[in-house]
Amino acid sequence: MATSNNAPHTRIERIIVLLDSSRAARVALDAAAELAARRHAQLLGLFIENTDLLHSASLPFGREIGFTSGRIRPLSTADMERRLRQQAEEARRLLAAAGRRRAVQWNLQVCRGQVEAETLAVTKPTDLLVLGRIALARDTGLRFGQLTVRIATTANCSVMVLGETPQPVQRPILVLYEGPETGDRALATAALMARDTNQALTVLLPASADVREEELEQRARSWALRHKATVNFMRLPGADAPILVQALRQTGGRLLILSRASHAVQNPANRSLLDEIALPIVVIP
Amino acid sequence: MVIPKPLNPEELYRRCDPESFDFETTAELEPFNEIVGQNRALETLKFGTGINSEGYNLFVLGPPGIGKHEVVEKFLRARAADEPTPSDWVYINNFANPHKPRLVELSAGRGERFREELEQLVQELRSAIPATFESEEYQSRLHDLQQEFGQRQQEAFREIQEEADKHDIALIQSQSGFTFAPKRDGEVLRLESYRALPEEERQEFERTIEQLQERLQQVIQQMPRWRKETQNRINELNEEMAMFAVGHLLDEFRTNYQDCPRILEHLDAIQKDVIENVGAFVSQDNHNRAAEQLLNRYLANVLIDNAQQQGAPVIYDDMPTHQHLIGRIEHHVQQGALLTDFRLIRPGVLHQANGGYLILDVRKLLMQPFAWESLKRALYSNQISTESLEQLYSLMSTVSLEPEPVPLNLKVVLLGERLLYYLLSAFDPDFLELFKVQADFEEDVERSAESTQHYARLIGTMARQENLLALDTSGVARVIEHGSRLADDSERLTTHNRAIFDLLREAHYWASSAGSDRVSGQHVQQAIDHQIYRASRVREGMERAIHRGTIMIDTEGEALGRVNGLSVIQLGGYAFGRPTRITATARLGRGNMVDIEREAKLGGNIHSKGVMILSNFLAARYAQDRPLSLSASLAFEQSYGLVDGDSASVAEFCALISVLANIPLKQSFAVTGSMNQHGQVQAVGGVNEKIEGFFDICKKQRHYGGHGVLLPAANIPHLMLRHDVVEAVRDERFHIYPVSRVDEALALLTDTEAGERGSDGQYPVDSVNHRVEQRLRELAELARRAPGGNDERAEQRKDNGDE
Repeated sequence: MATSNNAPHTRIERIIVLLDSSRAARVALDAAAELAARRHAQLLGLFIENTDLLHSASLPFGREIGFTSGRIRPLSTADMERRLRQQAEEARRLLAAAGRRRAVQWNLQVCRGQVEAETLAVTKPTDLLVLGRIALARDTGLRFGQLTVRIATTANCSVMVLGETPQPVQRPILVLYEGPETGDRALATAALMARDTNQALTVLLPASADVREEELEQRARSWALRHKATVNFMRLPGADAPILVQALRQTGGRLLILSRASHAVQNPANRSLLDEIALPIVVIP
Repeated sequence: MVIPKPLNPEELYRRCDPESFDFETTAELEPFNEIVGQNRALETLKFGTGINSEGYNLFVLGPPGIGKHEVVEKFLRARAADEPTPSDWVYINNFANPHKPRLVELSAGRGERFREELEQLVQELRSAIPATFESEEYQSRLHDLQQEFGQRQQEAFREIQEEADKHDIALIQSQSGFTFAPKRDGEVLRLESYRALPEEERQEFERTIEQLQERLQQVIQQMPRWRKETQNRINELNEEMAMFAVGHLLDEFRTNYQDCPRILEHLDAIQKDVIENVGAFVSQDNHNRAAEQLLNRYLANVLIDNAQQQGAPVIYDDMPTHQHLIGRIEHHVQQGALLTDFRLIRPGVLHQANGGYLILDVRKLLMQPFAWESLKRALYSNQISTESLEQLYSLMSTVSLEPEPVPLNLKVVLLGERLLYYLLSAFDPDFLELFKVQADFEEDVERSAESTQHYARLIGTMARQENLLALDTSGVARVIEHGSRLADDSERLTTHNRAIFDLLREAHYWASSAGSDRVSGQHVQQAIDHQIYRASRVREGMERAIHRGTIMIDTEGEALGRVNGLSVIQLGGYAFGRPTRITATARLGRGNMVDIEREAKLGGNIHSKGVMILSNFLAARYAQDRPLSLSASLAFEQSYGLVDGDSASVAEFCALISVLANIPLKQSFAVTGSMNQHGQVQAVGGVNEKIEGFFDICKKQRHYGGHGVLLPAANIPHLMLRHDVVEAVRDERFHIYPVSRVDEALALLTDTEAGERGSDGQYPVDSVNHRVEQRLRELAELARRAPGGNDERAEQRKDNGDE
């Protein structure tokens, strides 16, 4: 499908989903399979056997503290190896089921290493990486919870981060537009997804010191005109995460698409954006 | 003995003189709202409704069509209008025990207002609660609380994380928990690298990790407590906001119902419920079913609304089933399950009539399964417990309710036939306990000048009530005459309203058909004739059969042992008379009288009694000093159905005397009347029909001249004969003879003197009685001489030495 929307930088050839045993990963897998089916793309499941965990388990004092119970249990390499094998097997089973359900080709890649490094090593610019947001990470605020954020902001491909609860399908797809340099690719991806699912597209226009909202709207409008996309506009008082969170709570949407270069992502103080909103987010590199 | 003279035409029919009325048509008459001739029943109704003790419910007795219902309803309505209007009854949810809805009593008219106000309240809550809980204030306070909880957790974890970082220790998340491990350059140390560390460093790592594990454990184990604390604070917030949302609405409500503690309790319960269920109200779903279900529980079900009621209610139920009486609990189906709540309780007539009067037809009541028992139960307990039959008898077990019983205070008025009253009195021990007052309806009233005038006004009122043409004086007179005929008594008038109503409607029809602007005598007569004509198929068939000789009835000549008796056949609402041939035979025998009807099991007990009386009279009169050596038989010829009544006993006696005296009887006469053991003739029923029946046969035979009927003199007041019969009597073509003694009947039928015993104790020679006595003496003599007779048996006893 070589239309103008499928320019090399927006084309999605492969959907990669990072699998683990969490519920969020299952939601992510389902969304990934649906996207793959819609885009006629390949579905690649990625299961990473975390070496940090394996090393930790091999130490003589290796212990595990239960998430909910707080009980301290001994940990052994054999146990950990067995668990990882089981999880990989479970991931294969889930992937096969999702592939069958959506009639898409799928592959499972199991590798051993650190999650972030291994994930980044696998992705290519024409991929879409789908991650489940780890609920626990939000609650505890632990640094490894920001793994998702780190991957989203450093991956060479688009990254979609999903919550555990699916959003109502009738809501529009939202895209944050902060200018043609960062926003055009986000707009293109958003238009593509809106067209795929036959949904309305709302462009969020944040006010900033550099560009006036009217100007932004004008640019987005001319982009839409060029690409024959139907869009609505919504102006925001700023691009800060709290403003965005507030605006999204009021509007409600199905999906938020924004550029990695966006103020809301780049400003380190605002990294919590990804944790704060329940909406699925697609970060465009 | 004087032979009776035939009756004058004037004695056969008591006319009502149209001239005696001082109006032209009934349209001029004032409505007559009194009830004619039912003083006893009305007095009883007054007593029964006035007495305020338990069990003084009423049973109104009388045959169908007499107008019991109209009279009772009219009476009760008049009485109820001056009585206080009963309360409204409302069911509300019982929050503590939802399957036992609570009852609220409110003064008449307040129930519906209460329901509307509750609905209004719910409507306000429907928007006020979400508005409050979706408000910026609530949301940000809630967010703060949750944030605080999150921060508290994050803080605790961060401290551990920082502590771990400080000691070069990694915190790693596994599938089901956390683990700590020493790290170098961002990577966890492998086992061999770790072992390569100096002992001291390793010990330091292990100690630190152990401390971190314990701290993390403490943090994790504290989390439920923190969560609970947060939840408590959220609850407090909810309560505060809910109070803000509903408090002022409820306070306004409370001021209106200070006098009703139950309603105040209900409002408190609503307030508590809102606070407990805030979560359901603030759901994002547009069609918030959970919230609707909660709100529905705050509403009221007005079981009885007396807002429009003036005075006490008077309710008649024409289908008194168990459910109609005590109400029902409906269910609705939800996902295949039958569900109900307090809003589905429906009232019964006991609820509707509570505080007033309930009229029921006892026959209908008894025909409905369990209805009678349910009514008695309610009256005994003085309360209405709404329970379905399946629940009562454990036939079906589904979610149902036990509504709080409604206190019952009413008078039940049962309407029914006398037989049902007597049967219930005899067989149901509860009946007389609960229905202590019996109001017995008169079936007729005296026909006096005054009552005739009342009757005329009543007829006018009925015509007006039914939108019928007014009656002129001849029409009224004819209706009154027919009223006497219906009462079977020229001195009385029927009180059967239905029959009079029907006659008026039909007379109206004939008058309208004839284009008349009023109903006159001829229209009434036409209506009566047509009523008879419509019902006459069977009668005409019988007349035809007699005329053709299929049924043998002679109306001419004389015959031995044969007489025309008269019987009445009742077919539905129509009765007619017909002659029946009664025959007798006699021969030598031992004094036994064979009643063939009885032997064939076609005779009723009263008929048998009549035959026994006549046989004993026979024996006592003619065979006082010797055995009655006679074997006689009596039969109703060509009768194939059950015969009962003693009205043929005079005829039977005459037939028997004819055969004994060997004197033929005139067939131009028919005889009716019963007799006693002294030979007196007693009154019988249905004389009008009987005379008309015989008259019709004679008329059909086309040779009537000296024909007639013998009837008991005591029946003369009952005569209200048809116009053509009266005219035939006037023309001396037909005669009606009143007889007081059987001898008079014998004389008339035989044209021979019956005879009275002279001073010598003997009957005059050639008199009927003399010939009977002679014949019986002969038979006795024959019996004595016959083998096995009295003489022979005496000889045998002598031989055996029995003396």
